[in-house]
Amino acid sequence: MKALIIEKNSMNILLERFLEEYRVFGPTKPGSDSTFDEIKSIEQLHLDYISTVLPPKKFFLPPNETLFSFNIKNGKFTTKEIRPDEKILILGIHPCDVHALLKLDKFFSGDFNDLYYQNRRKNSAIIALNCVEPSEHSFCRSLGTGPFLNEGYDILLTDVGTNYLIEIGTSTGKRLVKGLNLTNASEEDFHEKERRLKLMEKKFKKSMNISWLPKIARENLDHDIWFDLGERGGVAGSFPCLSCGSCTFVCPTCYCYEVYDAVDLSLKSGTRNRELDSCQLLEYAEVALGGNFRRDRKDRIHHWMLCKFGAAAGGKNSSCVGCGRCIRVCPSKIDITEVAKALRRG
Amino acid sequence: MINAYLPNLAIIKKIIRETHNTNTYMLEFFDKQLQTSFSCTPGQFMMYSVFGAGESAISLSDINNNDITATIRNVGSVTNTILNMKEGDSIGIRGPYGTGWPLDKAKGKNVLIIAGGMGIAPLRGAITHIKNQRNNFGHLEIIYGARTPGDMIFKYEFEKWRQIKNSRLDLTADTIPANTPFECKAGLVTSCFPSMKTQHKNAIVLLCGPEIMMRYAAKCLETIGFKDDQIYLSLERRMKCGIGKCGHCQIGLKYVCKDGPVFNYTDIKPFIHPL
Amino acid sequence: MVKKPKIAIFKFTGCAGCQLELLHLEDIFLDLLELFDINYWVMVKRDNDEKEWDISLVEGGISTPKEIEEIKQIRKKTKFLVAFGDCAIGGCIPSIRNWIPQMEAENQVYPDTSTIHSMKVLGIGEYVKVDAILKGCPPHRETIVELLKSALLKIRPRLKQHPVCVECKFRDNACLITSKKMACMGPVTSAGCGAICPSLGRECEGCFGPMSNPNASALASIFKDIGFSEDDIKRKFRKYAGMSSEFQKEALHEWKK
Repeated sequence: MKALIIEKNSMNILLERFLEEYRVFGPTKPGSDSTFDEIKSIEQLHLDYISTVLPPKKFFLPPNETLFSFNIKNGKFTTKEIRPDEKILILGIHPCDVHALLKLDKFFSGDFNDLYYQNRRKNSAIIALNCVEPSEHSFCRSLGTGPFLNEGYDILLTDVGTNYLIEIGTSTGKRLVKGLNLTNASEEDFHEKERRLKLMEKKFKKSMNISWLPKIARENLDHDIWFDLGERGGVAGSFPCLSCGSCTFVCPTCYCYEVYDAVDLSLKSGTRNRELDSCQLLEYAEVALGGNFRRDRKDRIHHWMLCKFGAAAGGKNSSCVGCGRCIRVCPSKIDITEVAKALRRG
Repeated sequence: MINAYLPNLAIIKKIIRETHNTNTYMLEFFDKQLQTSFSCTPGQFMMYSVFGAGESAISLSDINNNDITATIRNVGSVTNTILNMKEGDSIGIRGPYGTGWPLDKAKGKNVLIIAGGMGIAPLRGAITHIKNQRNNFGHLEIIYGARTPGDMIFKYEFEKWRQIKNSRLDLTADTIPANTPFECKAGLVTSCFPSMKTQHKNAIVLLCGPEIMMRYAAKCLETIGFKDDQIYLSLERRMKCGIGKCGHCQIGLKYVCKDGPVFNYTDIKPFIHPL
Repeated sequence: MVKKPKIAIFKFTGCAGCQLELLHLEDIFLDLLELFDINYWVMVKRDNDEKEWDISLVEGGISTPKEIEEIKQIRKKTKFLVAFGDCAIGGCIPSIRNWIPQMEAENQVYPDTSTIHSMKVLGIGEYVKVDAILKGCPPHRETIVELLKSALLKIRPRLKQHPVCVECKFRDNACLITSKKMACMGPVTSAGCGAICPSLGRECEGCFGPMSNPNASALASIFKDIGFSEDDIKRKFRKYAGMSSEFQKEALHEWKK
C-alpha cells in the first residue's frame, strides 16, 4: 500500500478526521510520566512523549469494569449482560505497547473468548508511532518488539524530521486517510526512516538476552536471587521488594484480575465486576480458611519474574515486551534485566 | 457468541445433610435444553454464583442421573450463603470446567483412591464410574481419612462401596469418639498403607485432599515403589474465572482451572512446596 | 417485615471524625435507615436506647481506666463489635503521646494534672474481642457502607488489605517516590481511600494503617536512600500506626540494625 507524509504542524487534519468516527485517546504530557487521555484538540496531544504510567491496556482491560448486572425478584434471579460498544482510537501508541496488545489478543481468545476484551479491541483503531527516542529503562530491541513496528497497526507514523511518514496497515487505516489530500511519501522519506532506526538502535541503555530464558528461569527455582529480591535486597543495588504490585499494574502484558459482586442498598440488585489484581499482593493466592499458596514475598516476586520471562502459565502471551515501565516505577529499584542477567550467570 | 462469564440459573432440587457444616446439593438448570445437553467427567468442577456474595469453584461430587451434584462445606461467603438455602431456591452455575480423572488411562489397572476430608467429593464420581464399568478396571481400593468420623461425608455410600466386587475400603480418622457407628481406624491416611492391598505394579493412584496430606501420601507411595507418573492428584487454588483468564490459579506452567484440577504428579511436583 | 438490626455508635479517645464521616453519608442516609435502626448515637440523637445492639461501631482508642470498663460493657451488650477507624484499631494519632513518659505528656497539656487519670492510648482490641475493623482516619464512606451491607447479607465485606499503590496506579499516577523523591507511605499503607493524596501530588501519610504483610523495613531504607533523616522516618511510622506490630520496628527506630 502506498505511504503518505504529513507535516507535523498539520497533524490536526488527521486528528479531526479521526474525531469524526472515534473517541480519540493519546499521550497528553511530554516525558516519561505521560498518560493516555482523551484528546479533543491538537494542543492536548504530545507525540513527543517517551513513555506513559499506565499502558494502553487500560482501554481494553480497564482497571475496573462491570461484567453484568443482576436482579432478584420474587426469589428469582435475572442477569443482564453489559457489552462495551464504544468506538475508540488510540493515537501515538509505541511499538512495545502494540506488541503487548497482540499478546493480549492471543491470551483473551482461544478455548474461551473474553468478549469484553474482544469487543473493545474490535471497536478500536490503532495509530502507532515508531520510537525515535528510547526511555532510559526500555529494552524492546532485545525482545524484537521495537523500536520500530511492522505489524498490529491500522496506521503507523514515523517521525522523519519536519514530517511524519504515514504507513497504512489495514483497510481501516486506508479509509481513515482517504480524501485527506496528503502528499505521497518519497524514497527519501523511507531512507530517513531507515537512518533513524539505525540511530535509535544505538541509543538503548538496557538489554535482556531472552534465548533459553524461560528454561533458565525454570531450572533456577531454588536460586538465591529470589530470597534476595524478596527479603535481602542487593540485586544490582535493589532494596527488598515492597509487594506493592506497581510493576504488575504498569505492565502492558499483565492480565490478572479479580471478580467480585457489588450489591446496592436495596439488597435486591447489583453488579458483578472485575478489577485488575496482582500476583504481588498477599490476597492473590489466598483460599478459603486462610490458606495461601504464595504467602512469602520471595515466592510472589519469583512468580512474576517467571511470568515475564515466559515461564508461567501465560507463556509468551504474558511475557515481557521491554517497555521498561516496571523498572521506572519500582520504588525498590528492582530491575528485570538485572534479574535475567543474574539467572544467566547461575 | 456466548459470554463465558455469565452464569446460568439452576434450581436446588434436593439437599442431603452430610455433616454439621456440609451439605450435598442436587441441582438442575432452569433451561431444559442446557440440562439435557449437560455432560461431565468425574473430577471436573463448576463455578457457583450466589449473587451478592460472588463466585466459587466447587467440584462435581457425583456423575449419576441427570443432575448436577455438589458437596459444599461452609468455609466462606459463597458457601455460607449456599448452606442457608432451601430446596427450590435458585443459584447461578456455569461449567463444567477442567480436566477430570484419567479414567481412560486407568482402564485395566488396579485403582488406588486416597482421599482426605472434603477430598472424597471429586473422587466419588470416579468410584461411581468404576462401579458402573466394573469389568474395565482391576482391583479398587479406597482409603478415606478425615479429622473425625463425624466429619466424613457420604457415610451412606460406605456400605455400597464395600459391596463393590474386588474392592477394599479403609476409613481412618485422627480422633475417634467412642460411639462411632462404623468401622474406622485411628491415624492419618498414610497409616493405612502397610495394610494396603494395591501394589505399585499395574496400578494408578487418584489422590485428593489437603495439599500437605497429598504430599505426604505421594512421598510414602514413592517409598513402596510407586512412580510419580502413576500418581494423579487434584489441586485446590483460588479461582475467579474457571477458564484460564484471571490468573489466580497458576502453578508453574499450568492453570489449575484449565489444565487441571487433576494433574499428573510429575508435572507439578517442582511447583508445590516441598515437605 | 424482618426486624431491622440495631446499631449503636460510641466514641472514646479520638476526634469524632469517624462519626462525622458516617453523618456525611447524607445522600444515602435515609436508605440506610430503611435497613437499620440507630438506637444509640449521642452525637446526633436525644433519646438513646442502652439495651442491646446487633452492631456497635466504636470510634476512638482507650486511654483511661473508666474507658476500659465502658468498652467491656459495650462488648457484653453487642453481637458484632466494629473497631471504627484507626484510633479504635490501634490508637492512631493520639497514640503518638505513648512515645514520651505519661507525666511529661500530661504536663504539656494540663496546668493541673491532679484530676487526670490517663494511660497509654491503645486500640479497643487490647481489652475486648473485636469482630471487624474499619481502617482509616477516617474510614472512607464506601468502606462503611460495604461493611454494613455485608453484615446484612452475612458475607465477608470486601475491604481492601492491599497497598495504596494499587489504587494509585489505577488512577494513572506516576510514583511519587521514584519520580519526585517524596517519602510516600503508599507501599505499606492499606488501600481504601482511593489514593486521594498521591492523586493530588501529596505523599501518602499512611492514614489507613498498615496493609497486609507490609515490608516496612524496606520502605524505611528507601526513604533513607532518597535523603530523609532517621528521625523523619521514625515520625512517619509513628504517626498513624506506631503501636501496630507491622510498624513497630520502624517506629522504634530499630530497622537500621
